[in-house]
Amino acid sequence: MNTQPMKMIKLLIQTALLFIFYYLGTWLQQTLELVIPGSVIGMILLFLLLVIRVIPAKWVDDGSLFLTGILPLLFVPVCVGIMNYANLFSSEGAVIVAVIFTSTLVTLAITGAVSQLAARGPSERGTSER
Amino acid sequence: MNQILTALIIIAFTILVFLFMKKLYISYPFTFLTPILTSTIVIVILLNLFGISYDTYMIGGSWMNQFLGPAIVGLAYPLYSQRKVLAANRYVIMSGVFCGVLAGMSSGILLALAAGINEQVLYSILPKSFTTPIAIELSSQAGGIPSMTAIFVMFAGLTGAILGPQFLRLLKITSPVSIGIAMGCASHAIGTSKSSELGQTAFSMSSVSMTLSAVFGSFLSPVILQLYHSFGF
Repeated sequence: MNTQPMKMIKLLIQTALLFIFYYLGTWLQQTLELVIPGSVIGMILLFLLLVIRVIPAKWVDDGSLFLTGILPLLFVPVCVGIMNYANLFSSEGAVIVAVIFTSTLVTLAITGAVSQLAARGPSERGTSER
Repeated sequence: MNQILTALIIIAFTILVFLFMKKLYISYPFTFLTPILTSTIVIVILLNLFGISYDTYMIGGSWMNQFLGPAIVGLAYPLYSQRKVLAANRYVIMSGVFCGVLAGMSSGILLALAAGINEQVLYSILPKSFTTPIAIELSSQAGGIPSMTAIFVMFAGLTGAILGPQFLRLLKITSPVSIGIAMGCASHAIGTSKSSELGQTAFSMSSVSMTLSAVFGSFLSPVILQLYHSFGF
């Protein structure tokens, strides 16, 4: 019974830490005028600090698993934005949707095929190593 | 005060719908019942039914958006715990993502041209495979309409999340490494959240692929546009 509040506090602190990295990333993006989004910069930064062990993994484990676990839920409000684009269901909209749909399938196919071919190539030693 | 109450009700409503749809998906694991898709449809129908505008919904929705950035940052952790697999597959990831980014943008341009889509919409379609913040940035750089791009990004994400795993299996692309790379490259964070259902390897491959395509995309998008213009369009 006693461990539950402790877990909640840990989760809150870890989530706050992720927010700090996000703001840091956004700040870096604005000051250095980078094209890469702040969230991605924050992620790369946190990853590097984890690798060089400046930040121990146990400082971010629960918060990260929590937030990445609810990612699909967090995308719902963005997706609901489609209601403002009723004209996408017109005939012109259908053409655009078809283009995006086909292009996404092409991207999936090429990325998957190239990476599968590359995996059979010289780096196979690397993958079978572990 | 009223704003806060409205926001809380909207958030609770969104979470409830999502949990219900997730439960439905667990009982009936059909791809078209993917919770992001069904929740979106149910919420859009309910909002229309009660005459609530998207702006009103976003009083609560924008609070949830605040968590998107930090959640992307949080992808560093699965990436870190899978770092050995990532290092072992670095060439596979690099080549897959590089070709995927090129394929995504060039097929977008070619198909849009073939379909006779106007130039501004074409520019808005171009960055559809990248994560929303970068897609919006690249869209306005290219001369597209950012809010339209946000919707296109969502379409690309949903296409991959709903059809990706089956489509790849059909093409005999079966290794979790390749599936993850393809999902992240074609369908960014929405594809990555779907990949979490396919295991740790696919999930972390998808996160790294999404990140890398955002980076490659920022550099390649101006090059592709230059090529497009030099062909006299």
